[in-house]
Order: sequence, then structure tokens, then C-alpha cells
Amino acid sequence: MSAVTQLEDVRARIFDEIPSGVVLVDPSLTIIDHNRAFADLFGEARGSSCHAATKGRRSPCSSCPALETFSDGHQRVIEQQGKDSNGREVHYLVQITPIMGTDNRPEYVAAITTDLTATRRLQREYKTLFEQVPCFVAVINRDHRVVKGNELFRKTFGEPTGEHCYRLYKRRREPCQKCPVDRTFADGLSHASRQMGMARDGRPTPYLVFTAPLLADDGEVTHVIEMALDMTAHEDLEQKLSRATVLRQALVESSLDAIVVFDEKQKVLLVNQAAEDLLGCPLDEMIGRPAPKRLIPKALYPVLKGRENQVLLHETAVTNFAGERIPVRIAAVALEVDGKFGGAALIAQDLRELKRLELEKMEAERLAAVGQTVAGLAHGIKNILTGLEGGMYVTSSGLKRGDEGRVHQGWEMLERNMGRISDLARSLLAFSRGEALTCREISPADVVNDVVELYRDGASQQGIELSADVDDGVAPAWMDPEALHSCLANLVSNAVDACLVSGNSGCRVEVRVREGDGVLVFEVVDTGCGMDYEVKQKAFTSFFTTKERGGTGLGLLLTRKIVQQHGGSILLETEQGEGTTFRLEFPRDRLPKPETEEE
Amino acid sequence: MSESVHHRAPLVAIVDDEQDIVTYLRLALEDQGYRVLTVTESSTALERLAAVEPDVVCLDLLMPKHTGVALYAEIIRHPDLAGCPVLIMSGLTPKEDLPKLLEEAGGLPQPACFMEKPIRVEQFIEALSELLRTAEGATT
Repeated sequence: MSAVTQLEDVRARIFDEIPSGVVLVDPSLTIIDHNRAFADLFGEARGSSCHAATKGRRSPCSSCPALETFSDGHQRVIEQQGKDSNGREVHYLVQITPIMGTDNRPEYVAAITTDLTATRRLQREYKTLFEQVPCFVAVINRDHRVVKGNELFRKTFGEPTGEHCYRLYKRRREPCQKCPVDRTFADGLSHASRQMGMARDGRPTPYLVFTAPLLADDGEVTHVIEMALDMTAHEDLEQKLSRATVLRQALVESSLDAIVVFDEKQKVLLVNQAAEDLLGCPLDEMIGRPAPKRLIPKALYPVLKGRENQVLLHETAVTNFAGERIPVRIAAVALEVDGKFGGAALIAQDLRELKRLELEKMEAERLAAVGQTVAGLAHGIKNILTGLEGGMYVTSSGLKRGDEGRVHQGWEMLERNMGRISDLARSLLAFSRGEALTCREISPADVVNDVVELYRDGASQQGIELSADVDDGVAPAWMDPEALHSCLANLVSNAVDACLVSGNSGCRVEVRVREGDGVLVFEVVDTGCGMDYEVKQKAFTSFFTTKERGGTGLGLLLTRKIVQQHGGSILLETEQGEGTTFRLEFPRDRLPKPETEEE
Repeated sequence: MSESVHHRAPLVAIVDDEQDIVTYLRLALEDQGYRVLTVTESSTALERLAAVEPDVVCLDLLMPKHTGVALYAEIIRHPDLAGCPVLIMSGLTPKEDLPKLLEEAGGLPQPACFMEKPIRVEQFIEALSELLRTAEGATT
């Protein structure tokens, strides 16, 4: 192959392989030749017109750059929009160069096309981003004038008419002291800052402002693009959050209940003033340390270790740093952090004051009962005194007459009434002393059985059937067995009397014990005479007695006192002629507590 | 009152649930020559009183079941017992408790006589004699 042929071959390969489309057109706009890149975009087109090949037109374009070059012999570059071989829209840049003939006129034009479709798509996407971004975007010149704004900007401030940014955003008449746009013009860098502006309605509006340089080809900053994000909602939220935090802190700090928060390793994270007062240890000595075990009842550890979510102890005791046992109501709540166990909070209510008030109330009730019934007591004593007076009269008149029978009768009267005085004095003393309970763990069922055993024969001899109904499931309880025994014995004795008074045959008395919903319940039920309204009203409030054989009228008062000392209450249901039920209810969590239970 | 009745000793009824008090007053009155009817069961008292029409009724106020106040109200309203003086015996105080009780029972009139317990035999006999004299004066 000659050198000339070789060169021609190289040229043909270059023509075919350069990445831009190259096409050669004659003055009739017929495509004489084109390379592979052109064919890849527009398909095989030799012999077709250029307007048919690149735009699918039958006639030349209205301002055809090829024809213009044929006419003036000048090169030109122009952006065109056409259709590819699949009919899809394409954008391309065309550089048109005349190929001069021997007459020094263009014989052909060569067009080199560069595909801009991807670039145009990107531009459209950027434009959409610019328009749709949910903050104000403005292009600002060196004179602080807004030359372009995005959709939100235009919606808020109207079409940019070259107004100053400081006037639009802040209603100022002159540029701001620390202008972020100026900084970006000065150093060519992006900056972020917080600015306080003013909304169109005059409301002060916080903005987060980003500025970035827009550079000319020579690298000079010609404009600055500024993005301003309205932070009103964000700051409102921040304020609310901050207020909530302050409030929560104030609540924790000023809470009358002691609050101690532990982390997941049972180390103290937070302690409030009430906890310091309760535990008697300075706050800073507790933070970061494991809590001493004596401060925390055992039952709460499952919560502190994340094994249970919540435990509430209605009444228990903790030992403070001074070794003092303090009655408390205490709750432990597990804390969840990011869906995992993150520690626990203890909330303890100091019950010392409450206990003191409870004692005072019980004492006041006791004194009120005593006060209310002094008159009743006097009445009882006067009756006994009359009996004694009678005894003396009968004895002395018997002596005067030498009537031994009468002397004996008088003496018996004296003895009987002396006995009544003693009984009354004893009961009154027991009631007014306010003796403390002596508690131990007892079986409630055993006490019931003992009382029934004690009275069964006596009742049976009077035709009354006395029985026990004991629920085997009743757990042991911390109570004073003797006090409980005397309560039940008193109620049984009353019930037997009520049966006797009724005069009915086949009367029954039943003593029951059961447990439900954490309440220990004793009942003494009789089918005796029942009480009318007047008697029921007086039952607990005076030295009132209905017993013909003479009662002190203190039995029910004593019973109620003992029940109250155990944290319980006594209820009375009765219907005249039908019978009576006395119910003693002891909530387990209010029963006396053994001293060492929490250790 | 007829002549024959004048020669008979006055009949005094004692209504009290305390057996010792009843025994005491019965013996004291009998020692003074009075005839005595004793009632310790208040629920049948009215029936028994109406049957014998005593010259005076001595009534305890606080008794189980049928209280003395209720019985007093029934006595003064009973046609056969109208005019029969009632002596109320009680541990209550005459100035404070009694007026309150009578008021609560529907405004009952004061009894002919009130004796506060404990009862001394001399005062009791004297009060009773006075009552009977007054009652006799009223009927003659």
C-alpha cells in the first residue's frame, strides 16, 4: 500500500471513530456522507436530506444554519433540538464548517454534532430542585439585589424586581452589619449563619442562611446564591422542648415525693431534694454510686434489674443513712431508653406525717367516743348505784326484822352490783388506755376455730348452733392473736345474746374467715333478733347496751378499736327479726408490719 | 272514787328491766303498806297496767326493746290510764336529758314526777305519797 493510500485509510478511520457525529451535506442539503457516531444517533442517512434525518421534517428548517453557511461561507455554532432514529427528542450542539470549492465558494458543509440530551436533563433537574426546594433560594448580585428567586421566594415576596435582599428579608434600608452574602463575595466560600428577619406580616422570623458563590469562567464571584430556611416551627419546638425540660426538672425538684433515678447498673443518676431529706444523705454523695441496699426494699430489685416493669408497695419501710426506719409508700418504674432497659426510677412517699395523723385521728375518735358516752356511762353507774342502794335497804331491813332470807337476798344484790361496777371499771380502763398491739404471725383460721370451740358448748346448751366456716386458703397474717380473739369472742357473745332475745328456736351463729382481693375478712353471722334503726345507730357510739342481764356497752367500741389498730374496718348489716352480720375487713397492705420484713 | 276503794292501800306499778331495782322498790313499798305490781318486760307492760289501773306508775326510761319513753307516751294516751300519775325514774339528768327525750318523742308533756337515780328510799316514799295526795285531791 502506498503512503498516500495509507494516509487516506487513517483519515477514513478517524472520521468513523471520533465520538462526535460528523455529517457532510451538499448545497441541496443532501447528506453525502456521515460517520458511525452520527449513524448511532440518527440512523443510516446517506442520500437523505439533513432535515429529514435529524428532525423528521420534509422541508428545510426556517432558519437553516447549513444554508446560511452555504450562503456566507462562515462557520457557526448553534444548539439544535431534533429527533433520533427512535423518534426520541434529542438536544445537540452543531458546529457547521464550510468546505470550500475551487470557485472559493462552499461546495459542502460539514456539521459536527455533540449530543447534549443528558446535560439538558440534568439542567432541568437542577432547575426543578432550585424551584421546589422548601426554603427561600435567591441569586444576589454584588449590589445586594435579588436577581432570581425560586418558587417559594416568588410566592412569598413576588417576582424579583431587583430589590435589595436586606429590604426583602429584614425590611432594612441599608445592608446588614454582618452580611453573609458579603462574606461569600469576599472569600469565595460557602457560609452558614442564623439571621433574624421579618415575615411579610411583620412577625420576627428566625432564618438559617446558607450562602454559596456563583463563579464566572474566570473564577470571579459574580453572584451569590443564598438559601434561607424559616426556623420558626423548629424554634417553637425547641422552645417547647426546653420549657418541658425545665418544667420536668422543676416538678422533680419540687416534688414532695422522694425521687431517685438509677441507670441500668443500679447507680444513682438523679436525686431530688425530697429524697435527700428522706434519706438524710447529701445529693452529691449519692450521684454516680450504687444505692446502699438498705434503702431499697427487696421487692423492688426485679425492677431495678429490668426484670419487671413496675412494682408498687403501698406500705413498707426504708432505713435512712441515720439508721432510722421510715414508713413509705414506694413505687419502682423501669425506664426504657431506645427500646431497651435503661434504668429505673423510685418514687417514695414519706408516710411519717400520714401515720402521725392516722394515730391522732384514731386517738381523737377514741376520745370522742369516750366523751360522747360519759353521760351513758353515768347512766349505767346510776343504775348500779340504785342496785347497791336497794341491796343496802334490803339487807338492813332484813336485819331489823330478823329476817335471814331478806338479809341473804340483800347481800346477793350488793354482791351482784359490786361485780357490775368492777366489770364496768375494767372495760372502761381497757378502752381508755389505748394498749399497743402485740403482733406475731398467726393463722386467722386457728383464731376462728378457738373462739368457736370456746363458745360452742355454752351456745348449744341454750339451743343455739355455733359453727366455723373456714377457708383453708387464708394465709398467715401479722396480727395480735389475743386482741383478735377478744374481738371475735365479743361478737360471738353478742350474737348468742341476739339469738336468745329473739326467742326463736333453732337459731344459728356462724363465724367465717376468707380472703379476696388482698383483704382478710372475718364475719360473725347470726339469725337472732336483729336490730332496729335506733339500736343500729347507737351500736358503736355509746355505752349503750340492750342486754337485760347487764352489759357494759363497751364491747363493740373495744372491738372497733382493735380492728382499727390493725388497719381494718368493721361493718354492720342487720335487719330486725332477721339477724345480724358483723364483718371485719383487714386489707393486707394495712396490717401492722413486722420490724424486719424489708431487710 | 268509791268508799270501798278508800280503805284499800294504793296500788303502785313499778316498770324497770333491772331486777334488783324492782326487788328493792317492791320491798320498800310493801314495807310502807302499799300494794305493788312489778313489770320487768316492757313489751307487755301496757297491757298489764291497763288491766289493773294502778294509782301511780313508776317507770324506768331506758329499757331494751320497748323504751320507757315509748311506753310513757302510750300510758298517757291510753283511755284506761288517763289521769294516772307517772313517776319517771332514770339515770338521765332531769334538766338536760329529759326535756330533750320528750321533745324527740314528739313533744310529750312533763311527767307528774321525775326521780334521778340512784333512788333513796325515804325520798322515793315521800315523792310517791305527795303524788298520791295530789292525785286524790284532784279527784275529790
